Amino acid sequence: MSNDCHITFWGTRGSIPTPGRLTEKYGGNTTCVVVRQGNTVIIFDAGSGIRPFGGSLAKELAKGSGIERLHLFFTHTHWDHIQGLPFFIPAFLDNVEINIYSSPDKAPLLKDILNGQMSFTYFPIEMSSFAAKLHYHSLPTEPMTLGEMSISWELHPFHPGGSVRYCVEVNNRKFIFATDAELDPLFADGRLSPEQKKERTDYLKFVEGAHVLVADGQYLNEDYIGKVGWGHSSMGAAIKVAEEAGVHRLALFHHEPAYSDSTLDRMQKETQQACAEKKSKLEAFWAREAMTIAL
Amino acid sequence: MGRERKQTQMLDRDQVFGHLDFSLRSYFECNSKVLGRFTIDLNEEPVTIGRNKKCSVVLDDESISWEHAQVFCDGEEYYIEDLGSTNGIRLNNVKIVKSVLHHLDHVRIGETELVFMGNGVGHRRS
Ligand SMILES: [Zn+2]
Ligand SMILES: [Zn+2]
Repeated sequence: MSNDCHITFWGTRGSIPTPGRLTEKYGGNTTCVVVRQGNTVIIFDAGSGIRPFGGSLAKELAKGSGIERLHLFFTHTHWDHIQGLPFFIPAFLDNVEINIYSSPDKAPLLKDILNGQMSFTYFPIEMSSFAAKLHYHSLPTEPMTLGEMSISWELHPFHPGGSVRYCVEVNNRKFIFATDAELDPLFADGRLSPEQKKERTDYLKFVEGAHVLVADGQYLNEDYIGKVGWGHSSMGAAIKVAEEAGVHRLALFHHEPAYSDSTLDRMQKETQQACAEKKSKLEAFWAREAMTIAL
Repeated sequence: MGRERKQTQMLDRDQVFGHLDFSLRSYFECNSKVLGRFTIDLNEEPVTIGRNKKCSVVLDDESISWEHAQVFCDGEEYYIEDLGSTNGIRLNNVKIVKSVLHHLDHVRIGETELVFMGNGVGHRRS
């Protein structure tokens, strides 16, 4: 059991936190997903979901759980992926070390971007009041090893300003974190430029055979039409691509702020029925806050 | 026929508070192919579910592990957690290791379907 790798969704909502009765089940916090095996803790993004994760971790740290070294990987720096960091309790503890990773193009700017959101114009406490040791890293070209996990990445070219997709391999299993991407144009029927063809092939190769894929599926198919170019996928595209790539389990993610629990409940039911009817091997579900699954 | 006045039913204090207490209870409505219909009260938690006689709820069903699942409340919310079972836990048809429970969530443990009635989540009587 202790060697198992677990994935916990702490924030699943896209674009802006959505507190309230209508979203309490799938959750209103923005992107934060934690992958953990033994004492190795990897955090993807610091949306508002990192706040409850920090509270939970702080309780464990107080009990002396030995997980003082954390690894925080950023996909990109849109607000919904960084806004929770000022509220991350472990960052205020002097026995904690946080390694912060971002793509080589963003790495030189990252420190300023994170400091910027905590400047007095926006926030009462400066980032210099963090007591944890912060180490900034540019993502290496070769896969990196943390504990028993091997982490690799690629640039995600279908999001305004760019994003990064990540792959974690452990125990011969593959986890992919690939949020904030507009896949529809690449996977719609129609002519693709040679560059688009390459992007499509690269994407499929990266996610191929994943045991768990967390993917942007923000919009209902009928709503996507009005959001072309906004950098997010339709649910239909996310499902189609996962099937094509032989993914085992797809967690639809970055839920549209306007969608209620009942909408996502309905989508999950309909999608699971459709997959069963066509005897698809894909298990699709909508990521839900405070839910842990095994890799 | 004389005028019949419907009498307002008077409840004594115990009945009133008994009623309120019931409305604040959280429990599972269960339905099992093997064991039929039954209820699991979750107010006295943690509740362990399995085939082992030491579990707080013993379900004699071969598809359930000796110690299958645990339900607990952190003072605010109810959680269900897999205790390393063979067949796992499905929450609304998704295999999970651990999750917060919401009112009307469907949990499947072996051949038993459990519906979470989350009345009074966060308002447990201590
Ligand atoms: Zn986003
Ligand atoms: Zn974004």
